[in-house]
Amino acid sequence: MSTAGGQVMPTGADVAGGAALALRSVSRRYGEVRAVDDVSLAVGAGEIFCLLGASGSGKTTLLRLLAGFEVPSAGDIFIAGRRMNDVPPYRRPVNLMFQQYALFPHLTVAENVAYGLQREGLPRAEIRTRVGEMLARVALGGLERRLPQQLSGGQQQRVALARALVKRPRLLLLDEPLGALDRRLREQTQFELVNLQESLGVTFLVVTHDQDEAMRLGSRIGVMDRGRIVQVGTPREVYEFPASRFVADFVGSVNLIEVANLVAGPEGWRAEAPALGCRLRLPAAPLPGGRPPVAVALRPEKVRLSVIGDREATAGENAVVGTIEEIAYLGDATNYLIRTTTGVPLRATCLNTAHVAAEGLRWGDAVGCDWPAEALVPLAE
Amino acid sequence: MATSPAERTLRPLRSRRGLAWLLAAPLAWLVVFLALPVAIVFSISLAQQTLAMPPYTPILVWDAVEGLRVDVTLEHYAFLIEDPFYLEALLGSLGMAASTTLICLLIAFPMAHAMATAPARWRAAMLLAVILPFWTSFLLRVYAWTGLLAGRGPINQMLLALGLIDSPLPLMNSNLAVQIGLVYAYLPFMVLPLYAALDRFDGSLLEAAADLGATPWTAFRTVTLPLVWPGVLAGSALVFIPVTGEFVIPDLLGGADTLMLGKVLWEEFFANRAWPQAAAVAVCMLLLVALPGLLRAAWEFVRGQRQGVPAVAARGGH
Amino acid sequence: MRGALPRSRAALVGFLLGALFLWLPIVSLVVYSFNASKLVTVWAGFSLRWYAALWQERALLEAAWLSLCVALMSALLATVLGTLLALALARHRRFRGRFLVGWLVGAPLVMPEVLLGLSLLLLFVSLEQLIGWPAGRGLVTLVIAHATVALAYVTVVVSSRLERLDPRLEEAALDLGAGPLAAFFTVTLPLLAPAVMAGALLAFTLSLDDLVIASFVSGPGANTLPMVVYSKVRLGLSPVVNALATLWLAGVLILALIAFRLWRAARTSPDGV
Repeated sequence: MSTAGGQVMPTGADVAGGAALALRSVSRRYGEVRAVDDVSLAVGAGEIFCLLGASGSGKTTLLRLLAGFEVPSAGDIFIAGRRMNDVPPYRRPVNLMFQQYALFPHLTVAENVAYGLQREGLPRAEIRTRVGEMLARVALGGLERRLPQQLSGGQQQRVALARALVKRPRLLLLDEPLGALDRRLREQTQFELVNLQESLGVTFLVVTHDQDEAMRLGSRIGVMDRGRIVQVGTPREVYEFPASRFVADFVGSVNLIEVANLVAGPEGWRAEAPALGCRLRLPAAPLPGGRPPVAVALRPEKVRLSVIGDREATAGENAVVGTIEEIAYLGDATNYLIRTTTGVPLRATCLNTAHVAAEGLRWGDAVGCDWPAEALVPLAE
Repeated sequence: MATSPAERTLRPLRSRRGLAWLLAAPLAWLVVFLALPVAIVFSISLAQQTLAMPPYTPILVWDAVEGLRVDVTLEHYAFLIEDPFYLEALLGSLGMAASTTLICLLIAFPMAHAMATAPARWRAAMLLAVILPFWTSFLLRVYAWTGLLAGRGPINQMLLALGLIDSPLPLMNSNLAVQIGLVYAYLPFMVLPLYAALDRFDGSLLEAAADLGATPWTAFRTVTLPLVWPGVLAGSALVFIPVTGEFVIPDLLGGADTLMLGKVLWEEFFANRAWPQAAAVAVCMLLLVALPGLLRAAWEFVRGQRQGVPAVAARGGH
Repeated sequence: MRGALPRSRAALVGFLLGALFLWLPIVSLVVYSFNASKLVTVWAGFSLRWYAALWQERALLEAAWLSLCVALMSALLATVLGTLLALALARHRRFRGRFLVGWLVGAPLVMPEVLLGLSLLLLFVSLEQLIGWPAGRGLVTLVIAHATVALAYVTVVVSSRLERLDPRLEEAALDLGAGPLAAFFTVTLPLLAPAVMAGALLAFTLSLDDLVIASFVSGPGANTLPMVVYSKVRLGLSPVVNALATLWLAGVLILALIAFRLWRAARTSPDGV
């Protein structure tokens, strides 16, 4: 369920072990700076939870709190039902896949993967079997005796993953797991990562600044801003029903429209958009808490474009007119920037479903733009 | 053969001829003033001692009857083995070098660690604090210790004032004084390579080790130490090798029982005028110096064979 | 992203103790140079008499002049030769004999000074017997000996800088129309200059400081400053030497500050080091 505040206080059951991870009002302050500010969160066993935020939003600090490299200034961290605040990193049932992998350059692939098992004092034979199994699983069989710097980026990434997973952690933390890979490799690795997670049943907590990565990987996404989690929800909830201007703007591309003169009607709110010079009809669903919206979000792909030609056209309800100022052809879709009659730009995206569709609109064309009421997401802040 | 214009432009800097031009002068210099002298030392160590100036006989002699004759002797090497004095000096040098290296390592590691982890704005000052003494005259720094360790010097006076001793300790002209002087003079040579190694060290590797269950001590043993090992080796070589041949410190701070190779060589040469004997000592010292390098090369080779990768690759960090 | 090593309070204490150990003897040298008493170990009030006495010591002043000449000339020679060698080693990663050249460069860095001194002296003696050059020993042999040792240090300093130099910078210059020589003089050399200067300073101080090699290769009448100081020190403590040490330290401080600025400039120069 999406919640506007973003803060979900874990229940007693979560803390007792129902959840793989439970945070209760966790803060981390450095002097006056609140890197992590009163974060509460519960992540269920077997989930892939993505923490999405810009750099400096506190997501890495949160990750380091979970791994044990930072100590919370306030609040409690529970992993698999155990309070972890004072447990050093080497005693936590959690493993971290580091951002640049942090592979030991003096150890071979097999030695890197075996490192954590050796620390547990397992018998040699068992270590060998588990390392072999894990390397086979991430398709690194045959590379056991290589050194990390003799591997490609994608191979290094899988060594890091194997090294963390071979410990069979209750919770695997991944810091920008795909950040160091090139685009083509990322897509392939994303699927592999999800498959591996499903077959092993380990809970993943992924930190990323890339909304695309978060949408693809995450069963749920938590959006972070200035040390707080501002929204938690499924990728669809976060995209379609952003809780704030920040989330709407951060996740995907969006038109943010200020609204004025709100009137509650039988079919929903009606309002004016002074910047666009048009009237708006909003969907019937009220805002949580019954607060009036101050703005609405409109995704570019929900805007319909039509050629006006010589016909005289004016702005109407959920409709404006303008001229095409920029065209970006992306292959699967085309992005347009339309300068409306009031001078305010509006973004629109059209899928190129037909071969000739894009031919229809050209730079300088006068176009009409309209959208259904359901496309408008009211924002309270 | 046709060459492209680009190749022709780059030729002066990258071609074989360019290399020859760059190398010619310095290489000639090194051959004449470094390689040749070592060869001469070796040959003179085989010459006979005489009472002339220079005090040795030529190795190649033109004889009217026998033609060209090679006049060499191994007696100076035999003497090195026969006289226990030289073995004692050798052992004394090696012992002093080993203890100096170890003590320097123990003092330098925390220092280098503190420097590598210090905030950037302190680092320059910390580096200067280590480098400046090393740039100050070696001789004058050793001289400073003759004052500090003197019978009525500051250290004895302080110990007397504290009531720890009743009469001044004979600190000067002892092996202890030599040990202090050696550690003092060579400490920067250990700190700097260790600092360089620790500075390059990626701290996230320690976090990775902790994350995988290694306690801080285990992480140090299994991650830090292997990765800064080249720095430890470099520092040890920079301390151990020169100390075996050190002359000034045992001469100024040591006593009658301080036996070290550098001093022996010096005295053979200047006091006894026994040039061939001094040359024989020098050849032994040279072998001693070359030995760790050869051992290391052999070790690298074996290691490379074992891992099936070039040993050089194993050294490259991130 | 590279993580930082964790800080340690114990290591910091270790550093402070180590720094104290390194600096206390030097401070004591300076303090006793202002001592009125002839006894170096007893404080008898502030005085500048030993600095005045220093000025009266002709042998010391002559030796200082010789040392300066030797240091300047050997540093110049070593800098030119060492820089050439570093360029050759950096430009040509593989050539037959590279291993040998590396060995020749590395040798003076680790060879005990008595060995270097003895071998060079025996060379000079043999050369004089064979071809009559160098006739006698003094300035020339001192300069050659010091340049040989310092050459190695200059090569190491300049090489380490060259290794960190982005090769694309020179390529960019060529791309922008500079000829190879122009590229070298307008791009490579300016970027290399701090390292070359640092190497030259190192060569200079090494020469100024050397006692052992100089004792072997110098002849009668040509005494360098360390040789004169050594003969004084062997006779016991002398406040004049303390005064000299203080002046020396002041000189080194100034030089070191210059070198340090150059080094910092080299490290922070905008070529992505």
